Amino acid sequence: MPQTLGAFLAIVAVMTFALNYHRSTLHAQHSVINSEYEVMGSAIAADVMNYIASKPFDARTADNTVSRSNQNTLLLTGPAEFGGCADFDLCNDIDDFDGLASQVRGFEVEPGVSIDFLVDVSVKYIDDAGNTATSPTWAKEVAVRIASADSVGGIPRLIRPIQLKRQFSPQW
Amino acid sequence: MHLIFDKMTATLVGAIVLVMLFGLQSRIQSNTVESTIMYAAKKQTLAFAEILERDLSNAGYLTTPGEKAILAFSNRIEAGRSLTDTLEFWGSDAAGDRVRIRYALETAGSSIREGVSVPLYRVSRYEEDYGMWKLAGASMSTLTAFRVDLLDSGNNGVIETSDARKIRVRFENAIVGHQARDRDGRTGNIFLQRLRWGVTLSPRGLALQEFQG
Repeated sequence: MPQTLGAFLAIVAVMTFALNYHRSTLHAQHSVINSEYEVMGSAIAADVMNYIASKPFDARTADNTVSRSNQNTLLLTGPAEFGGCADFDLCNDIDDFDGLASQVRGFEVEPGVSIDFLVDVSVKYIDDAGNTATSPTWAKEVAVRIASADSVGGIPRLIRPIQLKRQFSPQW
Repeated sequence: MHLIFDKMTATLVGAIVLVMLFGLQSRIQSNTVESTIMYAAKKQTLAFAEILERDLSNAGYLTTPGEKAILAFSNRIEAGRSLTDTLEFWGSDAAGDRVRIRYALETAGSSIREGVSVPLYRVSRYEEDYGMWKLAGASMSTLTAFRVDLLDSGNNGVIETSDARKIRVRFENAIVGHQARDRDGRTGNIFLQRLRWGVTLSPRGLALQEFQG
């Protein structure tokens, strides 16, 4: 009887360790895949941010209504009028990107094979202290959020979304 | 006799269990090591990506209309892949001064993936200092690809560097793990995965190249 009990305990111990090992392997694999996605996701975030940075600060600065000689923030696009473009390529200035429906952007890993990410952009005015401003100021904060477009067994490949923020001001 | 047989069996079973536990424990440890290597590789990859992004965003720094911003650019084909060998341009140093910057691809050994030897590279960054090239940073020595494309405003490749308005850069970093012996008995550092990073930039300094004003 003691031998049987001993053998049983030994089997339980081995099974517990084996289960622990497999869980650890699974976790390590998830972490490796997530890291690959994180690096690609941050590249997409940098890419999108650089694209947004290539646009004018505001529609009113682009058409010279607000300029170096007429520095009136009240003439800038109000926060309520942000957004309004249907596609990335149709946005004309920084605040047009606000609230744009999630865009799918692919990162090509091999010729013809790409991994898709969902890109969301939000834009807001901030004051000198970095807090959200309800009226136009000389600084807009753009937040680009990257999430993975696909998941395995309900778990997204990119476990936590990536967020990149940058502030823009008119350049004159 | 029975008692001796029982004790021998118990000892044997105990020994087997201990060996199995030891094996499992060492595998768990190697998983932890892999995770740590991955974390370090990710941090290095993103650090190099940041340097590249900052440097290439400043390409053509303080160039005057008509002046060339990209001074040298060459690719080479190795193992069926096109890699950027040299990229030299006007950029900005850490103090914000205008300086010539050169990226050069150097061979840095090899690694084994699925039994096949894969060459590894390092990208060294040089700044010109009174006519001499001074090493000012480098990537990790585990790159498997580094490619720069010079594009016009419509994202098409250009032949003349002065036609470039955008720069697309991509690199792949292999996560080189522990030493392993492959099926043919060769030993070497195997690599687990690749981290890939790439971005397309529109540096303002390139816009005035070949200015016809």
